[in-house]
Formats: sequence, structure tokens, C-alpha cells
Amino acid sequence: MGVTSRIKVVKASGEMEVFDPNMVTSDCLDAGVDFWTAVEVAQEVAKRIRDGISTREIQQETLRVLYALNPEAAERYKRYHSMYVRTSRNTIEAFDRKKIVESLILETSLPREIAENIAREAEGELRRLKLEFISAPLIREVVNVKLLEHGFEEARANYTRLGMPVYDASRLVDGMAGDAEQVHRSMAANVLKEYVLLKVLPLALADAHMKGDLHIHALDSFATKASSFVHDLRPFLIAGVRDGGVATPPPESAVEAVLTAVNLLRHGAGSFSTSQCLEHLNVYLAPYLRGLEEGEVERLARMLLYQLAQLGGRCEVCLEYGVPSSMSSMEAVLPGGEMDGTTYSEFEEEACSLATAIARSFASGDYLGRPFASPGVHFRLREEYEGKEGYLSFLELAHTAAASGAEHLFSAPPPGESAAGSHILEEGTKGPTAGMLQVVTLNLPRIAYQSDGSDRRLFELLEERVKLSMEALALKRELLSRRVAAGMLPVLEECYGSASLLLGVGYVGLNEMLLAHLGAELHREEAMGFAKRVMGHMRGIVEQAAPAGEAEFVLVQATEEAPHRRLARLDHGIFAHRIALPPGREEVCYTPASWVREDAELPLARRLEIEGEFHALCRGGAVSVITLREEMPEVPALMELSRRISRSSRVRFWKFSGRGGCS
Amino acid sequence: MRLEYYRIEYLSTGCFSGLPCSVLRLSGCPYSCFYCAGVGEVSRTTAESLAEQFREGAALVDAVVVGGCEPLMQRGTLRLLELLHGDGLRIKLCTSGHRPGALEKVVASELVEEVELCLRGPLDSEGYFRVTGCEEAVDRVFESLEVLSSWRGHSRVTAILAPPHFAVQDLREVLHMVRRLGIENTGAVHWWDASHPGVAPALGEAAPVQRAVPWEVV
Repeated sequence: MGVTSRIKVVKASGEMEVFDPNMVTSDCLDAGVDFWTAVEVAQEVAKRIRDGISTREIQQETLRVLYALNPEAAERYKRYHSMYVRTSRNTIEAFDRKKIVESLILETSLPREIAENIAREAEGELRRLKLEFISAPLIREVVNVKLLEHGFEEARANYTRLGMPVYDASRLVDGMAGDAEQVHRSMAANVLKEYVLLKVLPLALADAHMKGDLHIHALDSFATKASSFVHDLRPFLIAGVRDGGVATPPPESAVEAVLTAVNLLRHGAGSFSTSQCLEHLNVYLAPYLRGLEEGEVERLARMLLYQLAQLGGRCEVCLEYGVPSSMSSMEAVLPGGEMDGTTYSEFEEEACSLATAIARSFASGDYLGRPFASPGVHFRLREEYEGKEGYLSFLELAHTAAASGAEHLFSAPPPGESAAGSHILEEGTKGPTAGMLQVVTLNLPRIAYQSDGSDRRLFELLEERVKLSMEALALKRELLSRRVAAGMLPVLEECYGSASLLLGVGYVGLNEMLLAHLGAELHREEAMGFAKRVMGHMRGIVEQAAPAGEAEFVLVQATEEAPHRRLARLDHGIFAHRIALPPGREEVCYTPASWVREDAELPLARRLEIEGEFHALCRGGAVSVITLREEMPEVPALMELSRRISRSSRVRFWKFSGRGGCS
Repeated sequence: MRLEYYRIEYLSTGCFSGLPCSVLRLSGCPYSCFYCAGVGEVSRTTAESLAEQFREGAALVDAVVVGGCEPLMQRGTLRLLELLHGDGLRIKLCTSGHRPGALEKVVASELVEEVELCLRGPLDSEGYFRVTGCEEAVDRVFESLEVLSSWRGHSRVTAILAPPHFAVQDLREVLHMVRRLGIENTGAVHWWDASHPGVAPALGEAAPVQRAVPWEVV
């Protein structure tokens, strides 16, 4: 034995291990060979092996020795070891029950005795099938059945495999997904979603999502990434971007500054699942434009848009027409990351020029003239810009882009209000950066169906669901803190201390909730009072809750992944007799957030007055969509409409669309 | 006073020069154009109620286009225009020119800022009859054009082409006659597409059957 203990065996997986004659004994015993014969065989085999022998060769040697000693035992051994497993390591190995036992103990925390019993029963089932080859997934399926038969449900949930049916995978691969990268992403997302529902979320939350009481956005990233982020470019203009193993220097030129912005978003894609936004981009880039000709600025703007468009994820650029008064005394970051006391107000002309150039390129669309779907451009229309030279032409370009179908957003921040992207920040907050860590959306119509016309029950259920969604959000915050601590989310980590971190409670179908509960839609006078009570109640619970660590809870109208169809379909399956759809709507679909039904007949001013009432409650972001029925809307009229909205409406954010809420 | 209407479009960007506007499509039409299959269900309400709705939206949309097949066919239309004018709304009337008397009243009382008269056929009795099925149509249109030619307000003449009865080649003559009456603003031509029969070209609708092109180009 002393000699054999130094001999290395090559396993089926290609790994090496030191030969142990006890393994031969054990293999024989497993196959039903008596103990003394097994020991004798092991001793004999140990004499015959050489360094580098494979496990398969050892089995063949064992069989030869056994035939010489006891042919009947040899037959038993042969039968037993003729079942092979296609393993998850992409190897073919002889079946070994002990591996099931060890994996059960490791993955489910079951006691060894129970694990051995389950493994033995599973092996019996597998051998009964008389298959020459079995796969690792098949073994898991059989073991899982045994676990369920013995009532070990939780162990089954831990032991099961994640993945997708072969049929679904084939459909993806055969071209249903669009492109190859999409196939990879879809498959990965599928596994991650299953993982989150099975392992990360407590059963009550997972069930609430699957049943449709609520909708957890970007489920596949729940355990790994934050949702969205509004970036302040300045720290990166000072220090460059550290992307993986490469650190870029502070930009010296306009092109380098643009590439810094692009790299930041590229790097940020590892931390944020839904979207990223570059706040005040034209202002922060303005110092780098000094001395550039108009044509050079135009080229730079085009480069910026094309680079961002090709990043892959959703991103947004916030434009100001010049330097807003709130930023005029802010110290500017200059080429090379220098700061010498010069303020952004000294770069007013450059900021206007870049804003116009970006708006012009955005309005022109891509090289083929197609409107940009990403990046979106967020145009801030401030009263202080009225009368500035060139502002009208900036407005015209912005609305030309909007009319062309490019992804856009308008906002009219009241003087003194602090915002990051479409998030309204509280006074005294840290700066123009904010991260929405996660959004969970409530299914409001379902609450109405379940409350059977009782106001008391409706508000009880509402409170219950809001709190349930906040549980999910608090869990997300905790998970992200762990990921940040482990260094998994480098960009979020860099911003963790300086940004306003938000956890969003969203909602869908206020209109249909009112219709089911009161028999009147949101735009009816009699429903508005109740709608305000509902929204006020939600906001009260959400904003009075203690922050989850460094993140605060806010109400939000989440439109990036609107679950109004999924939740409506689920409700249709359960509450078909209770669902009251607005007149003329054939598709089962809820009105997003607190929007007035898109085809309701009422003047635009009244529509926006109702929706604007709730914008102020949604600090996490709210938007009104103004539907245009014309194929080619007239830009001057759109411009005028935006100016009026910014002056006289309570709506904070708006966009134009040719599509309604259910499109 | 009651009014019948097909629909209200609360936001349109292309019907009132440079302004967002609402479009009211009143019912009532003396014509039976060969391509028109009607435009849907009629709602009834009072002029006061309609005016109230436009007043409610005036903070954002303070221009109203009153059109339809022939808005002046209804007696309540004048009352509506008075109410809208009284509320300070900017009004454009779109007419087929079939009620020159009513049109004269409207422009004389300066209730509207703009009038758009839409021609349906070549300006001769037979040609107009072929499209509209209405015998006295062309005489009435001429009277209306004369009303507009002496009006100092903003008037515009457009046309709906409907080949073969009203074809591109007819336009030059029509344009010449309109200009001779002193009306210089000849706006756009709505082109009815014979490949989509049964759909009426209608004011304020973004129907694909309607292609608007500058008259002069034609």
C-alpha cells in the first residue's frame, strides 16, 4: 500500500487524484460483492496499477481480478457498473450513488442517513429503467421525486435544477429571439428569474409576484444588479473611469470627455439592469468645447449619440439649454480634471451650443434617418431659458425629434426644485445623482376585486400589499449592500455614498380600480376624491416608513417595464366575472399607473390636470404621455403645447406618443 | 340649442396654423360624394355643453376647428361659434361652401379667425354634380367664395381630389378661378385614394387615405 499511495489516477473529468484501494473495495461492496472478496480484489488491483491509470482502466482491472476469483461476483460487478452518467461537467462517468448522497448533504442540509436513504431509492428507480446512459438532470428529477414523496419540499426546492424546457430553448435558438446575443441573454435571464423566485425571495413574495398581487420589475436582476441610475459625470471627469483592470486618465479633450461618458455607461451596465442617465451632460462637457468650431461640436454630438446608441442597454441624456441658474456658481471640472475656481456659468455659450448640436443630431435620427430608441433625450424646459438666443430653435429641434418618434422626455422643473433624471430629490439631498435600486408595482384593480365594494377592506388590503412590496424592496437593498461589499457592483459602489438611493413602490391600474370599486373611471368627478384617498394612503405608508439603510422608499410610476398587461391577464384568469374594462377596450389590459384612460373623451388640459395631481406624489418619477393621432404631427403646434404645459400644468414630465397605454 | 356631432378630437397639431387645437366634427351634409361611406355614430348635445368642454381645455388648447361635412347645416352652429368666441377661443371654420348665407353671417360678425373652404369637384355644374350628387352645389360654392373674397379675415381654399371625376388636371383651372376671385391662399389638396374606397377623407383625421400636398406643386 505504501507504493500505491503515491500513484495518481486520472478521473473521467480529467482531474488527478491519489489512488485509494479502499475505493476499489467500496465499488465492489456497492455491487454486492462480499467483503473479503472485495478486500482481496483491492489488494490485487493495487499491485497491477501504474501512475496515470484511468478510473475506467481500474474498473476493467477489477473486473479481470474478480473473474479470476469469483465469476458470479464479477458478473454482478459488471452489471452494476455498466450504468454511466452524462455529468453536468460534460463527462461520462460510472454511476456512483455516493455522489448523490454527498450532493444532497451539501445542497439541502439533510442528515446523512436520510440522504443515503433517498439516494438508495433513487438508484433503485434508475436501475429499474435499465438505461445504459443516464443524465445528471434525470438523476436530479428522480431524486426530487423521492424528496417530494418523503415530504422534503424545501429540500426539493434547493436541490432542483434551473433552466428552461428544451422546446423553449429550441425556439430561442432557432430564431425567435432576434439575434444570437439575445438568445444568450434570454436563457440567462430565464435561469436567474427561476433562481430568484425559488431561492432568493421568501415564499410569500414569490407567490405574490407569480399570482399577480404585485410585479417585481427586472426579476432576473433582483439578486444581482440595481435597477437604474442617474450619473453625475464630474467625478469621472476628475479621475477617469476604472473599468475592470483598466483605468482611463481624466479627459484632456472634448472627444476624450465624450468617451469618458460613454465608458461610464458601458462600465455601469454591470451594476444597473434597466437604464442609466447622464445628468446635465451638455453642461459638464461644456468646458471641453472651448475654442471648437460649430462643425466640430456637431460632429462631437453625433459621435456621442452613435456611441450611446450602440451600447446596448437603455440610456438617457439630460439636456439643459445653457447653464441653469442653480448651477451657475458650481465649480467647473476643466480638461485634465483640473478645478481652478472657474464656474460653469463661464461656459454658457458652449453649453447652449452642445445642447443644440445634440438636439439636432437627435432630431435627424441615425445614419438611415431612423429615430433613436436609445439614448433617449430628456429636455428640460425652464422658464429662465425663455428669451435666450437660440432657445426657440433648440425647442424646435427637440419637438422635431419628439414628432419623429425618437425616445424623449420633457420636463419643466419649478424654480428651486432639485431633480436627478426623472426623480424629484428632497431639499438638502446629496447631489444630482440618484439610483432607483428596485421597483415593485402593485396591482390596484385586484385589490378592488378582493375588497368586494368595502372601503375598509380595500384600504386594509392596500396597506398589506404596500408593506409586502416594501419587504421585497428592503430585501433588495440588503442584497445590493452585500454585492457592493463583495465588490460585484463597482460603479454602484463608487456612487453608494454620494447618491440618493431610492426604492420604488409602483402601481398599475388606478383607473380600473376605481371602475371596479365605484363604477366610475378616474376622469369622472365622483371618482377623483377616492383616487386621491388611495394615492394619499399609499404615499403615507411609503414615505413614513423608516429608510432601508441608506435607501428611502418612494412612490413611482414605473413605465420602463410596464406590467399592465401581465397583471390584467392574470386577473382575467381569476376574476373574469369582476373585471370591468373601460368601454371600447377589447384587450385585457390595465391603464398604467394613475393615467387617465388614453381614449377617454376629455380635454387635454383636464387630463393633465388629473394626472398632474399625482405627479407631485411620485418622487420616484412620473410621466404623462400625450397621444398624438396624426401620422406627422406639426412641430410648431407641439412646441407651443409644451410651452403651455410647462407654464400652466402641474405635470412634471411628459412625452408625446403615437401609441396609447395598451399599445 | 342642440347639436349633432361625430366626434371631438381634443388635440390636433396640424389643423390650426402653428397652434395645438381641438377639432369638432359636426354632422350634416348636403352631399352624397361617391367615395363617402359615412363617418360613424352621431352624438347629441347642446351648444352650451360643447362650449363648456372647449372652455375647460382652453388652458392648453385654445383654438377650435369647427368642421365636419358641412357645419353650417345645423342652426346651433352659429350659437356654438358665438359661445366659443365669447370665451376668447380662437376659431377656424371648415366649410364645404354650401351655406353662403350662414357663412356671410359668420364672417360678418367676426366670430372666426380662419375659414377653410374645401372644394369637392371641378368648378362647373356638371363636374361638381358628378362628385357630390348635388345639383345646386357649385352655385352655392361660388357664392361662398365671393363671401370669402370680400372678407378681410384669413381664408383658405383646399380641395379633395377624387379621380376620375376631380383629377389633378382639373386643379389648374380651379386654381385659376379661385385666384380670379381674389383668394390667394390655396393651401393644401387632400387626395382621396381610390385604392381605399369607402373611407371618407375627413377633417382632422390622420387617415392614410388622405395625402396632403401643396396645391402649387400639383
